[in-house]
Parts: sequence; C-alpha cells; structure tokens
Amino acid sequence: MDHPKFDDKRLAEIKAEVEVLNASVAKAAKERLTFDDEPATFASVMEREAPKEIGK
Amino acid sequence: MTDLALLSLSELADAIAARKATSLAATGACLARIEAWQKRTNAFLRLEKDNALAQARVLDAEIAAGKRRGPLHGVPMAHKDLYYRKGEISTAGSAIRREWRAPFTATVLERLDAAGAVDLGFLNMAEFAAGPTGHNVHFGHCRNPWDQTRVTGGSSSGSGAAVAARMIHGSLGSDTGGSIRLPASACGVVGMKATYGRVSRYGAAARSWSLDHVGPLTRTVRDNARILKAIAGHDFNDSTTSERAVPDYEAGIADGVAGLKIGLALPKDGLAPLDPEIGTAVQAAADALGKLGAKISPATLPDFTALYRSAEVIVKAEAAAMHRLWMEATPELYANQVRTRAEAGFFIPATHYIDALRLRAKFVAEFLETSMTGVDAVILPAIPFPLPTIEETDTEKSGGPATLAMVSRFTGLTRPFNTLGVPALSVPCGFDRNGAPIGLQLIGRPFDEGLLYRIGHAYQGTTGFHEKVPV
Repeated sequence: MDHPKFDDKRLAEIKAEVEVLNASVAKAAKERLTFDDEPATFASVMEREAPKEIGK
Repeated sequence: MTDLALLSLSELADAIAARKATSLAATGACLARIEAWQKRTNAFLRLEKDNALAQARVLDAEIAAGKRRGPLHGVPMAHKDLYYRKGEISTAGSAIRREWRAPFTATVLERLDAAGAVDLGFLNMAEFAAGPTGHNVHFGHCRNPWDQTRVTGGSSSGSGAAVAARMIHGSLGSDTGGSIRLPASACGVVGMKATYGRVSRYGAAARSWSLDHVGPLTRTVRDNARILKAIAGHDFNDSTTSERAVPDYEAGIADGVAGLKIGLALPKDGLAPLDPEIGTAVQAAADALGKLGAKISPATLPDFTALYRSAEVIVKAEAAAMHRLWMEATPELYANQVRTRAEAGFFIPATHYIDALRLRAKFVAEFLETSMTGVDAVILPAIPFPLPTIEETDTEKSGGPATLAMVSRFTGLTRPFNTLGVPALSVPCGFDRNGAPIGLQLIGRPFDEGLLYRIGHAYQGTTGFHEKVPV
C-alpha cells in the first residue's frame, strides 16, 4: 500500500482502530444498502426533505 | 459614550447605515479590544491593522457618498486562518503552511467583501482544523476569555474567543465534526453549521471534503442570520452547493415560537453521556421556550454509534489522501495528535469509504423519521460536560486513555449532524460550576436554518446569557 512507514507497535494500534471502524461500516452497510444506493443520493435527500415553507 | 465594540453586529451595521457611527471608529474600538485581549486569548494569528483602517476609511467615504455595499457595511470581522485571500498567508493553523500564500480568494470572503465587511485579520485555529479543543502547538493554544485556563473549543478557536471578547463583531469558522458549535458553546457565542450545500467551501482549506461546513460565529442570533444570508448560496466553484434560493433569514426571525413543536433530547448514555449540570441548563432552556408558547416533548435520538464511525471513516480516509505527501515527507511538522488521527485512513478500504458515503442518505432518512417526525426542531446540548482546562485536554503532553477519551467525547453530540448534513445552531444557555459557558444546540430539517434562527432569537429575547461580557 502507498502510505508512510509505521513501526510494528503503531501498526498494531492502527489495525485495532481500523478494525472497529471497518466492522461498524460493514454492519451498517449490510443492514441498509442495496445495489442502487449511490453516494449522490445524499444531496437529493437533503433537497427533497427540506420543508415546503422554509423557516415556517 | 457608547463603546462601539460592545454593540452587536446588527446594531453597529444599522448605526453605520444611519450615519450614527463610522466604520473607522468601530474598527478603532475593536483594535482597542484586541490590544486588551490578544495577550490573554491568543485569538489572532495575524492582525491586519493598517489594512483594516484603510478599508474602514473607504467604506465610510462610500456611506458619505450615499453608497452602502450591503448589510455588513463597515462592520469589523476576522476569520479562521483557513480562508484564502489571494496573495496572503494562509496557515490553516499548521507549520507546513506557515509561509504559504493563497492563490485565490475564498468565495465566502468575496461575498463578505461585497456586503461591506472590514477584515481585521486571521484567527487562531486547530492545526488543519483537526482538534475539538483549541490547542495549537505551532502558534500557541487559544485561551477562553471567560477563564484563560480553560479550552475555547475547536477547531475555530480564535473565532469563538475573539467574538466572545468583543474583539470583532463576527467571524467565519468551519465545522467538520463540531468546529463551529464547540467554540460557540465553550465561549458563549452563537454558531451556525448550516445545511451541507448551503454555503460554498471554495477557498476554505479542507479537513474533510464531504463533511466540511462553513458558517458564522456571532454574539446574537440576528447577527448570525445576517452573515449567513450574505455568504450562502450557489457557487459554480463548489459543486456541492445547492441552487436553492437563500431566504431573508432576518425577515421572519421575530415571529416567535408559539405553536412550534420542539423535541428535547438529553442523552443519558451512548457516545457522549450527559453531565447532570449541563442537562439542567438545557432543560431550563426548553422550559423557557415552553413559556414562550412552544410545545416541548421528549425527542428520541437514533443510536449514533454507526453514524459516528462512518464519519470517522470518511474524515480519516479523506485526510489521509490529502495529507499523504506531507505525512511522508515531513511528518515531524505535524502535531502528534493531528498526524496520528489521520493515519488509520491509509488502511481503510475504498469500499468502506464509499459505503460510508452511501450510508449518509440512509442515516439522514432514519434521523428525520426517528427524531423529527411530529416536531419542527430538536434541542440538545452542544458539549455534554462542563468545560475542561487546557491542561486536562492536552493530548500532546498526555496521550493517556483518559485524556483521549475526554477529547473524543467533545464531538459526541456534534459530529453526527455533520454526517447528517442538517442545520445545527449553538446558542449560549448558561454557565457551568466553573463559570464557563454552556451551549444549547438546535437541530432542524435540511435548509431550515430560518426556523432555527427564529427559535434562537426568541430564546435570546427572554434570556441574557448572550449579553454577558467576559471581564
């Protein structure tokens, strides 16, 4: 992989941190995502969910 | 004689428009405050005194000639040192960019210039906007005007401190995990993280492209609304900005809260369990809104754990990508905590990063369904515990688990709303047992900043926390 050099102690710390993050995202993705979900949907949801009358 | 530095931004702007005050006098008053407070707070990284006075003279001449540029004409401001101004140094709080000069001007600074604001200089911040406390090993920590042993919150530390100490009338901060709302809460001022896409990020040094939000810190809610109106709107240089029209936020700000339904969330557990003292202050704020006619009901927040970790994946992956060359070539130029927080990003698979981005639409839909159904807004604390000291949260001196845990809890109630992209406003709602400010956070539906301003303005109309000045 293309990244800075780390010693074994630091690599072990990073590994532990990444495992938690990856496991969390993987679980959330498995529970929620389908083939058709794409990142750009977020902006569409924001526009769609805005109240019809802003600030009222 | 009125000290112009003590007027709110709106009061001052209106006085200048009515020729009852001059920009030159107002700028001079702010410079006097800076003289008194800079040594105590370290809020400014670079003060542009002569430039500011020259701007003020031009703006006064324009008023005398019958020209008013806009709603901020003549008002002294200063901004977090990550907004680019062409030809000027822009450090992003880092040693790496200590001498770097910006090749163009940020869209938001251009818009403030067009609205007539005076720019007094560049404010302290966490290195590369990575840190929730206000520590900076390169330029010195920023200190809270209310108690100089305590943190300002970060990363827009100088913005919070300078506005609170009345050194300036308003400031732009930026917010990736709470970096506007945390210093607003800690320093006793108002901070708005608007909807993702509401304000251009072009020319603001990035922390995370997907989660960065630009927004104002001010003394009053009305001041904040005035600045947001000036800076918001579509920008061809930032493809994430919405083409939606920008409302006149001040027009409906005094409509009151009678009949509004507001959910109250006081999280007892989860990522950021609430200190009872903070809970009492937020409950009192809810009670005050209830007395004004709002209907207060308990709000349910979803479990933010997955959402928070998705945000971590996004921030770390994006930070690793943007910092990789510097981290390889000159790792010693980073503060340890800034560098180490990004390092995990090199080991996050692209698939997980993309899934974290795909999840945002799901998370926001779940939040609106779980927490916003039947209510117009949700209120909760900004920082869930009494403000700690600079020493207690110094991760460079003490990287122990307790210190790291405390620092990470800062963003427990703010970072989720960056992932969700919904608007979030922090308003002062009291003082803790140490005399440090407490912040009330208001959350709304996408692009409903106007409603949050309306609630915040009503609240400030019945409380005086925003009028207290550090001495």
